[in-house]
Amino acid sequence: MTHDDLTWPTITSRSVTLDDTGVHILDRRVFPFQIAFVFCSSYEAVAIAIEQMVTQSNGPFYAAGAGMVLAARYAETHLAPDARAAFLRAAAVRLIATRPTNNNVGMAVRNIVDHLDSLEADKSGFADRAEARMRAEWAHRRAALRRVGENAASLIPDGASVLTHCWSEGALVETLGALLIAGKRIRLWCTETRPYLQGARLTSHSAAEMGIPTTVITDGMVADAMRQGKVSIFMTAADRVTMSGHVINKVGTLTGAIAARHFGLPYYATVMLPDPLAKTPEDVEMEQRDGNEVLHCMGHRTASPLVQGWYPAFDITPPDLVSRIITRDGIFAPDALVAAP
Amino acid sequence: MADGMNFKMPTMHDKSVLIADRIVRILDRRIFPLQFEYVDCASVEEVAVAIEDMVTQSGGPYYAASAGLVLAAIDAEKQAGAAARMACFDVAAKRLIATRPTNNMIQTAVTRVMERLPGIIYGDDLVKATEALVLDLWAEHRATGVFLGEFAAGLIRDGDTILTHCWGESTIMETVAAALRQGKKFQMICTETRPYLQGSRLTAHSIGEMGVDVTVITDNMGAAAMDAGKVSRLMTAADRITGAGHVINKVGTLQLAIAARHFGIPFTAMVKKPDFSAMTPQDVPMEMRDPEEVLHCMGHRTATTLARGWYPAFDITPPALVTNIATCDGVFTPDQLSPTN
Repeated sequence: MTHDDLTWPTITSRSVTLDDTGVHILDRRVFPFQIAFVFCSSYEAVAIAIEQMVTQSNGPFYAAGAGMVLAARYAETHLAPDARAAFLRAAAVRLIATRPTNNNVGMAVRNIVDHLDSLEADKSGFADRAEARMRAEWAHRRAALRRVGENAASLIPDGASVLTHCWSEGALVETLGALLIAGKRIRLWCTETRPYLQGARLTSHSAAEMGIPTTVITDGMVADAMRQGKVSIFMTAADRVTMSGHVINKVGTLTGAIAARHFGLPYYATVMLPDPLAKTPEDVEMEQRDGNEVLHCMGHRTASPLVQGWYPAFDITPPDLVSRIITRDGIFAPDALVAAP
Repeated sequence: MADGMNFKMPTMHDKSVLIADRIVRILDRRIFPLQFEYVDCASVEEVAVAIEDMVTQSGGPYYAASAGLVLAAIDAEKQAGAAARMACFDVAAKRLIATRPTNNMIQTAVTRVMERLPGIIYGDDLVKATEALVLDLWAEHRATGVFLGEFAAGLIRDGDTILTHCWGESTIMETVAAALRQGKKFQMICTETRPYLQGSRLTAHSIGEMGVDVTVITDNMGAAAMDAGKVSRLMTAADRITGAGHVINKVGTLQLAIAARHFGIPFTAMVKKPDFSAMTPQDVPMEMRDPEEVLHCMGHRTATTLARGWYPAFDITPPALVTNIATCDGVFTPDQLSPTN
């Protein structure tokens, strides 16, 4: 079996589609119960879609990149040549403001806004050049994720039972793909990942689409699944890894990492690359989301009207609870991270 | 911060199960407090099915199962002779005890009624007499909760933020009430407790009804809340505590206890009496519930149809992770438990 022979999940293959009319973003809020797309014809519409979590995880990387292409198209069509760069910079600021903790939006946006000179924003064909640059970046990203997946799969033995939290997007999908190519049979356990249910909806569905036997548990069952010997490895993606080896990921990762340590199980975190700009967690802005989201599930109120909610989007797992950090460039102990050349 | 004596006991304190004219009315905890409805049961079988369907849970089955024996008296009353009458109760008792095997409150309630039946079994109005017996039992039951609450509240310090999990029924209500009577100033955080949402609905609402500041978090946020310094004390009820100090409680308790230990936060488990007939967890049947419940929230599908669920109702926290145990007789370290306390 080769990479091309595998069945790849709907959510990665159809996550964000850029065409001549605009951007079609798979609506992850209703997936997999409905396959629906939010259509955006402006970068502002893309920004709102990202804020409203139409897409999340790696989705904003592709969505924000497409948003910058839309901004470039608008600028070339409607603005004087010398006004385009400022417009693109404003679009970049707007898009980066949507989700401050995850680096994905910033990386996608900088891929355009840091190269406005070489893209010749003031000359005809700017939008096409921006789009070509963005599509090349997407291909580059997919190739790098494949290397993350191959590195992660090398740590997972045949017969393993892997517990994951939230939705790791490309890193997990490529890890599962590499395991299938290697002929390793594994089981996947997914936390449902409240309040947004990424695990119950996105991760479990995508793994199952690839033919991996998949079990969903509530977020309260992590330690008991370990105690009962149901899982042998805890593995998550990371929204960011600092150079100090701290893993910043969906809230609940810390709970899993502490429990894994208690039961002597390895915890592996995957990330494209550690963030050279973040030496420690103090360098990372931690997103606090609306507490009301915790009081609802799929649009239905789940909590007493007498209470408030608290919703830190991410938590911080310290390096001493992390067995290995798996990146594009290899497998590292958390205290041995090096900045990519 | 809550303080002062001006509070009222919650709806669930004395309105969980009502005995009306040959009808047992069970507050439907599956939808409370979002809706306030009772399930009316006219037979022992209907009560048993209601318990199995989790119309009521936690301490509720104590009241529901004993009330079910009032309905058994309707049949028994038609029989001549003590033996025939007791046979009716025996059949009912077996059916009620079989509903939920792990929590021993049902068995305790049913056994206590059965032990007292010989004193009234010959009477003309057996239904009325059984009802009076059951109501006496309930009054005694509530009184023991007050003792437990006073001991547990004695552990609470001014300024505490207490994290709790699931729903501790009278244990948590009486502890909060006693802490308020003692003039303690504290706030509370409740896990929502999927899949049934006991925390976000029952616990949070009941504590809120008593005027205490209460915040709901999802089940994966326990460690993050501790790491953020938002938790000074973990206190949960227990479905059972073995003679050796193992805490058997709603799944999710274990990972909170592990996290609390990691962060140096005390964990107090509360139970009216330890179970000295169960010296170790091997003596306790551990209930596995229908995995489909994990894949739904309040009747709505939350997970892909491609994955399966897993639902251990309870987990086991070993005594090494338990700081102390509050009972009706005092506060003990797990290794101090003794039938003669």
